[in-house]
Amino acid sequence: MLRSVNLTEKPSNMSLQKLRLENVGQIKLAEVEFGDLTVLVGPQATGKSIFLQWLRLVVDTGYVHDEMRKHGLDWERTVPDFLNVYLGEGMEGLWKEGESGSAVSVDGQRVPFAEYVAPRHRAKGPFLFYIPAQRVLTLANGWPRPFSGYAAGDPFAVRDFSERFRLMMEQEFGRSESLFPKSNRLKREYRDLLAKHVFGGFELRLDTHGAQKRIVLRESAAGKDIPFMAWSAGQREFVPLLLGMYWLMPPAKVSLRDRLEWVVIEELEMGLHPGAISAVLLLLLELLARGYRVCVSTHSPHVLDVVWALKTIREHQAPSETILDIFDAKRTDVTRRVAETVYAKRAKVYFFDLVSGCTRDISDLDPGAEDAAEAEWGGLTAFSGRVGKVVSNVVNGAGRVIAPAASSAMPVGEAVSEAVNAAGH
Amino acid sequence: MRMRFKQVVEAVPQLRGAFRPGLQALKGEHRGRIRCSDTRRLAGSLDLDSSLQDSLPDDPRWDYGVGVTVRQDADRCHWVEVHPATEGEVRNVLKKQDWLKAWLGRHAPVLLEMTATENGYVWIATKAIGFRPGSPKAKQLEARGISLPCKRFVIP
Repeated sequence: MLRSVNLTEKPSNMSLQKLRLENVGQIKLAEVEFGDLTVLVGPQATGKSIFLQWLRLVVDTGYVHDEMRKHGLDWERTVPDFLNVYLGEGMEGLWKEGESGSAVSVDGQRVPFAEYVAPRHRAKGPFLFYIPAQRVLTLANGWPRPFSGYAAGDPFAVRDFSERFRLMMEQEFGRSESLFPKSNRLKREYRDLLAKHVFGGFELRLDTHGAQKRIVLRESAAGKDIPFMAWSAGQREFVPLLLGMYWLMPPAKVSLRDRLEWVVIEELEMGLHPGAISAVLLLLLELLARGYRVCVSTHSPHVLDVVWALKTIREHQAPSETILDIFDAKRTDVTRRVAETVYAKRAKVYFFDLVSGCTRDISDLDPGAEDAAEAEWGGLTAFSGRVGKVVSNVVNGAGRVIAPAASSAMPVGEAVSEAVNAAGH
Repeated sequence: MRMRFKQVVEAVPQLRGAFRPGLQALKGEHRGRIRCSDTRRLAGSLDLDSSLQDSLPDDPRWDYGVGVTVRQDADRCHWVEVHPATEGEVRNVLKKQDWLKAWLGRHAPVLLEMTATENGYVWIATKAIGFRPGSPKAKQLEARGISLPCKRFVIP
């Protein structure tokens, strides 16, 4: 049954539990029940990003309309034009009309798409903060581009993130030289990990080059500034993400920024070494501990490693601070409190299947599951598994040895005494 | 060379009386953890752990051998260990494999020769599986020819 949703009167979207898209672009059926943390995995072009942008539209219809109008974007109340300005040029065909056409349901109730296209107003700001996969493009010459600095056909998610980022730089860091490390931004424990895994011996600073402000990396020892284009790929990817985290974690003693309740991060691992990914994942837990509902898409098994570990730690009723060991994070009062809060949070994982076009709930992440999608974590561990199997077969095929190799062999007597002590079978 | 699992097992003095048809050598609770789409291919089984318990009570004995016919005149053996599947147990399972290879090499070299290339050493998890493909412990196992723990072993 269709319902008319008064999007302007909805006070909060924290209660949103389930979003279902049918026949939208490459998505045949995507049904996601959100956890405190929701992770989307799957091959390229399976609709993860479309789904997340749809979530944003559902949560923030009024804000999206306000911002688009403010920047001179007009969609003339038509679905194709709206999709072209919201999702980006060429996306007008995503929504299909007709009996077996596209449909969107929120918490089990179908909502006509016209509800999202008819102009709405909400002046009080967004409920959801979206960090897009293309975040590196928001920094032109070391300074975030304004909304109007993009082509009309560029996706709203990128333009809006860039504009937030620019406003924050101008309003909150305009006179500040140091951007990282910065004493009132992020907990010291996180700063230490980021310094170690992402910035090495560099500081992130605001520099004035003539009349032009720019973000630079300064080599601490030599005091030499390195401009944006000379940064490592990982640093270029990470800085917009870091500043997005700054936005979400204001310096004052408040947990949440303004009216924000949701955070979406696309491919948080982009360009980062696993050590840096682990530091970013710790920041993700901080977001959860602050009370944000977080949705991420990922191609990294490390993200699912954390979800899997959290689930196992909870199932075995291990102490909450065990969570900190995952990240090799110091056990301080601050980090213990974060771990304790995160302990109670629930994570959901969904696989976007390229073949069927449908989603599957693989939240159990059981490596022994009969469903290959769950056992291989939506394909993220499939390659490692295959490599391992080839290695194992080669070892057995070539290993027609009578005794074990000297390097790996353990004297039977020694093995006996150790095995006696072992609790194993 | 003809290598029939039954004849080879019965020729090993230490394994006298250990051969059982099908999967009958496996304990009842373990039997359901192995599947074979064509049971006529099952060439028999052997409970190594129980057979050697009296003579080698303190050794880290491997659990079972399962024979499977791959050609009309040739069988292969899958060595199956039912064991808790946590990373902490990898070390113990590796020790058991060392023991198995050493014992077979000394007393039943033909059985060692018959080890299957694919899934030659199979670890069936007692309960949940505590590690995933690609982890260092998983690689350690695979580098020794042991398949990652599974809940059920489906004979290829």
